[in-house]
Amino acid sequence: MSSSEFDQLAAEIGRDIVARAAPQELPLYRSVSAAYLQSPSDVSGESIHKEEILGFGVAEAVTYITPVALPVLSSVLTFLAGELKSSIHDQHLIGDTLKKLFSKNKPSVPQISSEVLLTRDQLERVRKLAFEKARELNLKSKEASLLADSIVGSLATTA
Amino acid sequence: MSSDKASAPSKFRLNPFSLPSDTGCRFALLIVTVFGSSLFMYNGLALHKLSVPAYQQCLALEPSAAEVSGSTAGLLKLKDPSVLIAKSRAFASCVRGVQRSSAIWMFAGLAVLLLVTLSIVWFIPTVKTRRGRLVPLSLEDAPEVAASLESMSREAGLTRPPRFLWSPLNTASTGLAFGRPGNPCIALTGGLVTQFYTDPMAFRAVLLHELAHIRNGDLNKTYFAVATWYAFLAVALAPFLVAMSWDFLSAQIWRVLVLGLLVYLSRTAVLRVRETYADVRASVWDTPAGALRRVIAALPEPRENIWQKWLRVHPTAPERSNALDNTENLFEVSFWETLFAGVAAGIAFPNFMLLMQAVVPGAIQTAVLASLVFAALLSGIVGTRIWRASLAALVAIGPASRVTELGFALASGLLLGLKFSLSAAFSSGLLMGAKNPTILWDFLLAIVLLAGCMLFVRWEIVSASTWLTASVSARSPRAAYVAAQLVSTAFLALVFGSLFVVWQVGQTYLSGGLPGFASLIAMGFLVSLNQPTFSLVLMALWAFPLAAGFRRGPPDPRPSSWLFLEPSPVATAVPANLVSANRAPLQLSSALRLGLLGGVVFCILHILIRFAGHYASPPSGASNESKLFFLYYSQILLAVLIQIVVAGVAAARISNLPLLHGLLAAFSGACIMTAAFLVTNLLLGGTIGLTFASDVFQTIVNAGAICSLPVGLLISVFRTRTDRLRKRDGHHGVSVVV
Repeated sequence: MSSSEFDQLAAEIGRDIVARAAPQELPLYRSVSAAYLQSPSDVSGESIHKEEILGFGVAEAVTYITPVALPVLSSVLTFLAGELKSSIHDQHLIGDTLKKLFSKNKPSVPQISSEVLLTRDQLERVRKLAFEKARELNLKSKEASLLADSIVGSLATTA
Repeated sequence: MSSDKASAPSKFRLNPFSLPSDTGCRFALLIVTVFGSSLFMYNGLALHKLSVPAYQQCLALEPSAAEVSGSTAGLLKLKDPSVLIAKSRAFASCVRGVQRSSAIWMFAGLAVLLLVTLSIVWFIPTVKTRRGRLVPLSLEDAPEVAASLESMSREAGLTRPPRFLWSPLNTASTGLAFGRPGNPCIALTGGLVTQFYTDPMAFRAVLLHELAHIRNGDLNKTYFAVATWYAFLAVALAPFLVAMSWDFLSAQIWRVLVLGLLVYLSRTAVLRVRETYADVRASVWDTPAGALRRVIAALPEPRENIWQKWLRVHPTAPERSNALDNTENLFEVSFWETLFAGVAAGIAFPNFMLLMQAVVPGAIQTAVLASLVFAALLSGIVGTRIWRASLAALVAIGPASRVTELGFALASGLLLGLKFSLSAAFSSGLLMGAKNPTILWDFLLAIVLLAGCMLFVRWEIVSASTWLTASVSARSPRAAYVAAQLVSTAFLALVFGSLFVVWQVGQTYLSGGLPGFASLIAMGFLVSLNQPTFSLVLMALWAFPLAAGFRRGPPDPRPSSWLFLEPSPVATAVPANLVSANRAPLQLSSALRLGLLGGVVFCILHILIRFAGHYASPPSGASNESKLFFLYYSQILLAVLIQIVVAGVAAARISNLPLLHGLLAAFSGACIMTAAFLVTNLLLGGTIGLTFASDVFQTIVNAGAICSLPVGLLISVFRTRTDRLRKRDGHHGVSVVV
């Protein structure tokens, strides 16, 4: 899968993650994910907090997770694809499998086979990766932790 | 929703939008500074590249001193002057040609500067949109947000809502108003849009602030100021530094640095002050539960050194919070800002003169035009601030403007600016290399300039006080303000123009000997006395403030809509000082009576002198002309002396506006004196031509006013002091003493 496919997948899955981590941002999700897909590189640690020198704004901490959630999720998906590579025979099914992994509480989605379920150790690594990537994108520690937990909480596990 | 510590202001706040804002004043100052500094650079380049060699060629054509002295064969006996005249014409034509090419160079430089500035202004929105990854915020993106923005735009009184753009992936929480002239935009970051859902009051506060920028007309000024700075660096300063010789730069680099710093500080001052005005405007729209105060109070306080403080583009959070509750800070007129205005005008004035010399025929016309332009600018910048400060002083929340301090700041700023200008740079040795022989004369003119500036400041204060009181029930005081600036412009132009011409005469003729120079100045003074413009300006000086007396409102005026930001439903909200009934009345009839008395005294003395002279020695022979000359000026002197006495008595007897009443008394006396002079002349066999009548009237009025002015001023200053002492002793009464 290419990175743009991972981004596309992240945009599809991300709504649930945002609904868990920052439900107040859901009204903007469609527009933000569309902007992300158009130019994923716009979300970078340097530019993300850049304020206009002549602008006026709120200095208090503002929680805005969606733009960070999408690249974080894309990284997590890339990682998971690597992890599941050996368990999945048909590589074209990786996308579907990843979707199923993030559909733990959706009865409409067919359940994933037990051999591709993530172990506790893998989940730990996913959390660490998500947290570090979020921090890299200048998300505050508390919000980064919330985002990482939301991602991990959405994943189907063996136990 | 977070709980806001904000509350509605506890008192009525003075409306800083009732008169032109300080943003406009500072913007005008920036334009003057850039204009003057750029002309410095372009004129320097022209002199360096074109003019110095060309001037040297012209010098070869100049008739030598030997040729001039050799053209006379004896006392009043000239040889054929045609050769000398031809040489002089060739020299003058050569100099004019050089001046014209310098002017073309300067005009071209200014045109390029303007073009680059406008191009930057044009491209800034494109760059901002691209760099900020801004896309239109549509109804589909966030319908509630779009509806709210539409509603706030209506609340802000904008006839057409701005274009709202946003950068969905930017997590900062900032708004920014920008755009091309006539096409305003507001950029919102994604973080700010999210706040609509998490902290709607904070979102509203930020948006109201940005809409206030549009409503205040800040966008064009802001981006023009930003663009001007870059254009100045690129097409004025950089070419100057590259092209000028090291010899010149090493000697004059401090001057160039000062000019660059002045331009930068002017730009920064524009950017800083607009924020406060936007806050205040937004606070009017913000509800009592609004978050504007909370958002401003939470702004980070950067750690800055003294330079960073001067150069920052935003006021500090405490300054902004304070301005929201106490708008009187926006009504201050400071020594340093007045000095700065003087410096900017002083730098630009001689450079502008050089530019105009090449396109306007005649030295006097050039001086008049340049004086008029700079008088208008200074009147607009300093006069506006004085009017604002006077309004604050009238409602007793601000200190009264200090005449001496501000007059000194303006005069010394002008002199300092002249020292920074290019003409000073070149006269310091590069072109002339001579010592200035007219230091004492320059010093005397500096004293006159100081007196003129102090009079200007004092007049602005008086006009503001009288007309603001008279306009308290009007819809706006702006008409009176504009009229006052027109009068003060004419007065300042008169001061600057006269001083400049006299200074130039001194530069040219003082070295030829004091007696000749003194007679030249005296002759010039007498000629200028019967100039109609002179009369009009001098009359307007007293007539304009006194005319406010005819527009005074009823004893209990309705609360004015322009005075306070908050609508004041009760008449008691109008400060006592602004209620006409509480102020000392004008005493125009007393002044007119005194003038009439002075006129009658003149009539009696004049008739006695004229008839005695006529019958004692009837006109005959060649001595008649000199006798008439003596008689004419002795009677003018008599009229002037009586006017001085009348003005002095009026100023001493009338408590409110003593100087102006004194000038009115002198003028009314002068009218009667002129009539008496002309009628007596007719009775003794003379004629009354229109030109002669006009000359007599203007000479008597102008000379009387000029001589009465210092006397009346001294008495009014004395009255100010005694009134202050009386007030201290317990006498309470409000009057503006001038």
